Amino acid sequence: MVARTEIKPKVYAVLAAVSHVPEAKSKDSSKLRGDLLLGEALIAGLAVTWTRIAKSYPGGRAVSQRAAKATKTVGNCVDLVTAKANGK
Amino acid sequence: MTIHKHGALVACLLGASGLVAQDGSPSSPSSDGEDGNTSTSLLDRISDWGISIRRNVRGSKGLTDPAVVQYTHGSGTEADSTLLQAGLAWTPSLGDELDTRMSLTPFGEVVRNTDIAKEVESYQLGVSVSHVAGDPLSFMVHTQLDAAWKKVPTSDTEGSQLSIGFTPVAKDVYLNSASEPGFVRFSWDVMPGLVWENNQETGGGDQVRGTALARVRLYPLSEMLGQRLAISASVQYWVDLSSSGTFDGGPDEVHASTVRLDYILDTKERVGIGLDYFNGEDPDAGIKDTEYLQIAFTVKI
Repeated sequence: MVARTEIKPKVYAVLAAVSHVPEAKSKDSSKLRGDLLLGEALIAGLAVTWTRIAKSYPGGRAVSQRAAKATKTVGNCVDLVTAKANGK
Repeated sequence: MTIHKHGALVACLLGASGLVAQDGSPSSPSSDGEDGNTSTSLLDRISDWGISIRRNVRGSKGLTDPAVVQYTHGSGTEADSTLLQAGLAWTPSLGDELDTRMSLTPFGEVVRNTDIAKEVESYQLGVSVSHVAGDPLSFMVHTQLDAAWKKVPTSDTEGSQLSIGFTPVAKDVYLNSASEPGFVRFSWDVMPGLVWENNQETGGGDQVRGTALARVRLYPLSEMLGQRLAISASVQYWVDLSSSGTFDGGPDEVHASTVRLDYILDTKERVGIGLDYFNGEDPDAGIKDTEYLQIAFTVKI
């Protein structure tokens, strides 16, 4: 079982890199569009990165663009990657 | 269609959005409860089913703008009017492995503005396939291929349209990704593409045109408002590469310039109000050369 706390710093690091907003300024409720100002093409494209993280764990599954697009907040991204890393 | 009917539609959408108008508001709450909202609205469910409402699906290449239901103040002698510009799309699941880089989206679009001097009425039904290549942490390209049936009663044309467009994403140069936090943040987008269109009505013919769009978005007071207030300016060019029949004899090059101010009203970032200035011609949407200023209610799911 991959813990959410293990995934969280990895997701925060990715979002800090693509948004130019320091990790320390983000929290789970931060909005991808409203606070980090990510574009929609980028949010959908993050499926590639989320898949890479999820699949680095045994039994990890791919993340779809549709699932990536459906994420609204930083916390949503952490939850999504945690679920996929656990094969859900 | 009267403005009262548009008003009713907007009121319904505002109401539906307001069913869960709390901060954060993910449709699937985080397990540590930091988001603090476990309820879902009708619009959340619609979104979870892969259904979206946007200004346009075809040709958007990831640059999705909200649908508009608006009052239009014409320039010069043009009469005031109302306008509906919206696209409805559904993105079904193809399986996670394939969906990571691809999506398939059936869609329908309508542009209707019946009162300005060069009135517009166009309908499209089609399917869009998108693909993501590269890595969002460095450089990525979002490619969108659209195939649509298009009917434009105002210019008596009906036929098919195929288009392909590319949206690069590069965080280091702020392509589709905003600049560092500050008083004003900005992002920009470019989108080159190619369109083939044919007309099966009287006169027939077809056209191949190259197109390129450039857009800059500014987010004033971003530290306080985030993306809630945005100002964008875009220009798009179409160049006639080959044409026959009804398309022959038209201008070799047309363009459309747009300046927009958007303000998001709700915490779920779905409903807003916008001010649009449009000047030019959009052959993909069937909009003839015109100029107008619009005050718009905007909706995005």
